[in-house]
Order: sequence, then C-alpha cells, then structure tokens
Amino acid sequence: MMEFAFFPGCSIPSGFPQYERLLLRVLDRLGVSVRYLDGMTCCPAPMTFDIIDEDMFYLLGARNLSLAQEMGLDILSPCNGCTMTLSRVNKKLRTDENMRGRVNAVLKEVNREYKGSIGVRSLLRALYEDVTPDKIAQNVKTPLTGLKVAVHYGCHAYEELEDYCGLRKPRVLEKLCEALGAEIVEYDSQNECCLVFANPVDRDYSLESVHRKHMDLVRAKADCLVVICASCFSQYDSSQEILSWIDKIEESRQIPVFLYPELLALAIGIDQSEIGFEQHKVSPLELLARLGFR
Amino acid sequence: MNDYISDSETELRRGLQLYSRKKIYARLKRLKAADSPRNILFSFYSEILNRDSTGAIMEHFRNLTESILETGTAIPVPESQLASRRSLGLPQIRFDTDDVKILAKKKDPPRTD
Repeated sequence: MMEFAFFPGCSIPSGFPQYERLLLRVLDRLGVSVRYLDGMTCCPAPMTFDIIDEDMFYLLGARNLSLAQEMGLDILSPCNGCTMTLSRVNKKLRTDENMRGRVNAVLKEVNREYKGSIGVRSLLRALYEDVTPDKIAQNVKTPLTGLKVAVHYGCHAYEELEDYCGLRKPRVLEKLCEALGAEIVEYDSQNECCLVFANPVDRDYSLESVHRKHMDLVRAKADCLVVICASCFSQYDSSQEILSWIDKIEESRQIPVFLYPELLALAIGIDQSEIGFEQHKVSPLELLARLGFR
Repeated sequence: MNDYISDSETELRRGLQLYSRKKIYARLKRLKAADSPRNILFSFYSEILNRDSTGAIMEHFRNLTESILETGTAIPVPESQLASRRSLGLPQIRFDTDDVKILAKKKDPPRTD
C-alpha cells in the first residue's frame, strides 16, 4: 500500500465533499492510502500571495510542507492549484539557499523548519506514475467501450507536467482514460484555461470561453469532457447550464463533464448511485445508460 | 527581492514589500509574452487583466489574500460543508488560523488599500 500526506486544498472540501469521499474510496481500491495534514493553511492559492507578497507565499508553502515532513510522507493533492504552488515552493527552497534561510528564520517563530525532504505530486501524477495506467486497466470491470472522451488538463497542471516529464503536449490524462477503455477525441481549445477565477469579475468573458470550448467539443463529436480539477469541473458543468438559460446552447446539446476519478470509479465497479452524478448540472445519466450503466 | 518592493518611496521607507498594481500588471504582461506551456495560466490572467478596466479582478485577488489571513484558506469552508463532510464520514479537517497571522506579523502584512 502506498501512503501519502493528503492535502485536499480548500475548493474540494468547500464545494465537493461527495467527490472527496469518492476520491478516497477510489485511491483505497487502487492501493493508495492517505493521511490528512492537520493544521494546514491555504497552499497559498495561485494569484494571491505569489503576486502580492513573495515572502508570505514561500512561508505559507514551506509551513505546509513542514507538516508533511513531520509525517515523513510525500504530499498528494487532488487540487491542481495546490500542487502547482507546493511544488513551486519546494523547488525554489531546495535550490535557493538564501530564500530557504530567510524562510526558516521566520518559520522558527512558529516552531517549524523547512528541510526539503519530501516531494509533492498531483492526483494526476500519482495515478499515472504510482498507480499506473496498466494497473488501472487491470482493475477495470466494465470498460467504457465506445465512449468518446475529450480531455482538459486545466492550466495549473501544466507546470508539473512539464517539470516531471518535459512534455509540451502531455498524453497523461489521455492514457488514463484509455486505460478505462474510452476513446480520445482531439479538439482545438484543449489547452485553454477554464477561467473559473474570472467569474466574479467578468462572467460574460468566461461564458464566451466556455461556449467556444463547447462548440469545439461538438465539432469533435465528443460524448463528454473529462477533467482532473474540481474548479474546471464546476466551470464547464455549471456554465453550460447558464449558457442554456441564455439560449446559447440547446439543452439537448449540453455535453456531460466528468472528473476523471468518477469515470474511474464507474469502470472499476463502484456503484453508480454512490458516485454523485446527481450533483452534476449537466446530467450524464442518458450517456451512461447508452453505455449500459443503469 | 527588488521586484517585490512597491513603487512609492514612502512605502519603501515603511519597509512594505508588496507589488504595486502597476507592477502586477507589468509582471503578468511579461509572463504572457513568454512562450511556454507553463504560462498558459498567466496568459489568460493577463488577458483578463487587459480587459479589466475597473480593477475588479485586482480587488478579487486581494480579497482572496485577505481571506487566507483571516480564515487560513482562500475559499473558506463553511460550517454547513464541514457538517456535510462529517455526515459523509470524511476525516476531520482543520485549517490553521494562528500561525498564518504570526507569520504575516513577523514579516510585513500585505497592504490592503
């Protein structure tokens, strides 16, 4: 059994507790156990302290890393933003002695020290490198044969992907979907940010972006969109509902969105009623029924 | 660290080490210009910023930062969701709100104006 220190971030506990539960169950089924970090703070979230106060950015990140350090476990986070921040802090403090010294001088005030002894990985990377697509395929009980999947990594995922495998066009999520028996379809706006962060300030702009993506998915004849980030999920799922309200998308042409662990759960035999599909704004039930899931 | 010192000499004398709005915009524009997949995120941020004639998004980023100082997280986890987590049998979750304030105090806290 592999073990990780679990850093859930804030967006999943605040908005997706059912998904959080499903995630723990799926990881357990695949031989991954997790222990929650106690007393964590925000990672800190991208576009907060990183642009407002660099020292605080590294201090808060280092404090979180020191909690996992005490547990002697690498961090696993299901949030792409948290993974990006914690990896960035870890990389900087491992290589910049001056910054590490400054950070540790302040961390002393809360009886902590950053040592750089643990690593950070995203859920995507843990599934791909630690569990592996082969093992996932071995666990599949009902392959998703005939399901045409378009993938969306989310902007925060690219930094880690580029760092650990040098990929400019990753095929990681694609291979994980193929391990479930799904077929990948390519589309134009795959690398675009979902713009969920822009919702509070420029909803029209973010809706335009989702609409553009939706049209690309329709052209590519995708059955669904698969994401790995809960914020991206929320954006593409709920924005399609809004686009239907304002007559930009016909309700019958909405495209279901899945978090990858949901499809994984379905394929490895977790009962559909326990996955949480009823929480989706765009119901995937008709699509799933077409695949034989009822 | 010079990039993180605000423009105004007054602020420099007060020892604040914060980006001014002007520098945040400039930094994001530089990131947008860089040709690398890792900058996809910043390309979109800077596009938004370019359209953000009211400065609303800057306020949004600042509100998130203040939330971290107050509650320990950018997106607070409300009591209703904590209760929902409990009913689902999820492990208890505890965000620190003390250390973050001490750390912010020991180095200069972010400016909020």
